[in-house]
Amino acid sequence: MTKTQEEYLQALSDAVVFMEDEEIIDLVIEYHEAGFDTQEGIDGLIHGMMRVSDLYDEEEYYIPELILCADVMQMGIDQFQTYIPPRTQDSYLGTVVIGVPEGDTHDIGKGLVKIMLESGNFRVVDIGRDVPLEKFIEAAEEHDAEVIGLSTLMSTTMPETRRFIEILQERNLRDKYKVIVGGAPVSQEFADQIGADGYTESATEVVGLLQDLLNLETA
Amino acid sequence: MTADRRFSNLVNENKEFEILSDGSMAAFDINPVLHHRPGTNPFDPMDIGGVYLGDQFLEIQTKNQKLLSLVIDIGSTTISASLVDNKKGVEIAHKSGLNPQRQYGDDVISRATFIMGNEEGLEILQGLVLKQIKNLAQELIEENNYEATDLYAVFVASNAIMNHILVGLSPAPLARSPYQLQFEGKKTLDFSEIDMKEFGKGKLVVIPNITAFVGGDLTAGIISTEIYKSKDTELLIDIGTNGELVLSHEGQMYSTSCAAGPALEGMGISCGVTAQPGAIEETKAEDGQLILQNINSQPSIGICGSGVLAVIREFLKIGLINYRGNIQKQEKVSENLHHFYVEGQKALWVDREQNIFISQKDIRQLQMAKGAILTGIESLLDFAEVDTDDIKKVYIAGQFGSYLSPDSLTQVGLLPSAFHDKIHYVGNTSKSGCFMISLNKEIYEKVDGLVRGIKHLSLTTVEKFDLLLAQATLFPK
Repeated sequence: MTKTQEEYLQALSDAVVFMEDEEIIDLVIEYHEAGFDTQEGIDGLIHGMMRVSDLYDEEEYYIPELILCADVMQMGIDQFQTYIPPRTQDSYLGTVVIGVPEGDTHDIGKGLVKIMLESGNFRVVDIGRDVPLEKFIEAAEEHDAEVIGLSTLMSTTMPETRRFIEILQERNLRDKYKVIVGGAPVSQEFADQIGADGYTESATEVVGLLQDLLNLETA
Repeated sequence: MTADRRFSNLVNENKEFEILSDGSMAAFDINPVLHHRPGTNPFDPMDIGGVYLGDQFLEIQTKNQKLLSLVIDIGSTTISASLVDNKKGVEIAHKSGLNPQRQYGDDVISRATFIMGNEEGLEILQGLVLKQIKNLAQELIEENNYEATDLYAVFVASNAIMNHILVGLSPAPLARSPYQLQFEGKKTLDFSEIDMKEFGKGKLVVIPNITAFVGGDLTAGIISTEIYKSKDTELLIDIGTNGELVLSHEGQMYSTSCAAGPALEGMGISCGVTAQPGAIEETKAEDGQLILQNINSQPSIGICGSGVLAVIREFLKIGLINYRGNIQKQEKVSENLHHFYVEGQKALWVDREQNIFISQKDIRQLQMAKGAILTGIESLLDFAEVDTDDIKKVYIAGQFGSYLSPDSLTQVGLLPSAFHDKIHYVGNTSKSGCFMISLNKEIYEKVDGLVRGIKHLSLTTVEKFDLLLAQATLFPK
């Protein structure tokens, strides 16, 4: 039985939602060999991740599911990308530099934010963890980013986020970038205190936050 | 809370499950580090010689001089001290008090944060802990009719942030990557350097840390369980906000640490309380009801750490929670369980009369905590190339861990199920191990080398760590 494209797209989306890590690659190959459009296939995977995000918001899914689903989506996307060149910058909603400031080596939260942003059609420049503040600015300048995101899991590195905003001010770069912060010890109150542009409690809300901050039409 | 446990009537018929207010200890030869050596004149009627700590000379004294030491365990909440007679090698008395540093944060990281943000922070926190140690020392000495100058040594085993503060070193480098210790091996200070002049000559000895997050308390645990000598493969676990692990395999030791957060201790849980009278500490589901066991049999005021694990264990068993941690949809469970559902909320009643429930969010918190510990165990075994089945003994150290039954630990999946019959509760090995180190010169001398030989795994270097953690947060199917 051959499937229609619509059925395939549903299957791709379902594979992400139900964490089918053992089936995803074969499914992508099958889809590709049936001659359907690659970009639409990727969109099918992303559609699945959006459903996952909704399930998270409904408290049906939690961080483990986000990670497992994101992994399946990434496997699928990697497979699709063997068929087409990566997207050009024009088609993105914006560019975001994200990283974990120096002193902290925990990056699960950052990984999730990255996945959600990429699913939401943002280009993400992930500069890694335990990164000097200077690197955030360098990367943002180099990649013409609109947004810089700092994630910290340890209360001992929270002051770095405050310092980052001060550095931007000192260099007259504060208005050039939107700065968003997140991580377990961070709160909206803290974000307001240090003068960050945005904060979300969970990774699933970050796309909505950036759409607001950048005044983008919501899809 | 006292060592009085009432587990036996409900869950645990397990023979090994006994509670130790103090840690268990292997048998060892008494050969105190603090000792008197005779002088060179064999006809001296007073037998004047010297008091020594290891090979360090402290002062000239007669043979009759009493030789006291303190063995101290500094926990983030409690500081406990044992007064030890080093001539007999016995504990004379013990006492504990609150750790006054608590006013600057419940956990060690927030205290480190305080120090990092305040110029006088280190001095303040060091002063507080020293003052409490001196108080305990004075009370123990007076109550047992000794003189302050009979005290010659204070031995301390604790986590690294605590003992850095104690010796006046900033814990900042420990609390930030690359999480570097500021001293390796034992750290020794004269009483005069820590404002303990009234006790005369003497020294403070800090038991060496393994890493910033595997502290001297675990070093003490290695000594008291003797896993360093074992020919079998054995695992030592301290379960808490920060999970600490040491594995001994084929003569090599390996360590790691994992951030579990406070959920396992009942903190951050909707109806969570610390262990106290009225805390639900254990439970069993029977005929569609939960039979609760509260501390001191008082009406429920909340759920403590062991209770949270027990409640989830029972809800998993009767299908109210599925293996992914979701509260099962009401229409999917049999009608006699419907009374557990809190109306209009994702939560289950634990004690409806007392308005005590467990929410979906609470279950998530616990999943992350237990997942962190399990990932730590799995990663460490993988690092040492050991199979779960190869482990012959699993030592659970620390006061908190001793309240968690093997059923809870393995059925909620904090530990692999293969560990169920291998669990040994060893209690406060921080203290018992420190006691052993202080009373055996050989161990005292070799402990630095033992610590140096441990291979440490930093979980941040584990590949695909987030996926491992995600898998580990699931409950056993």
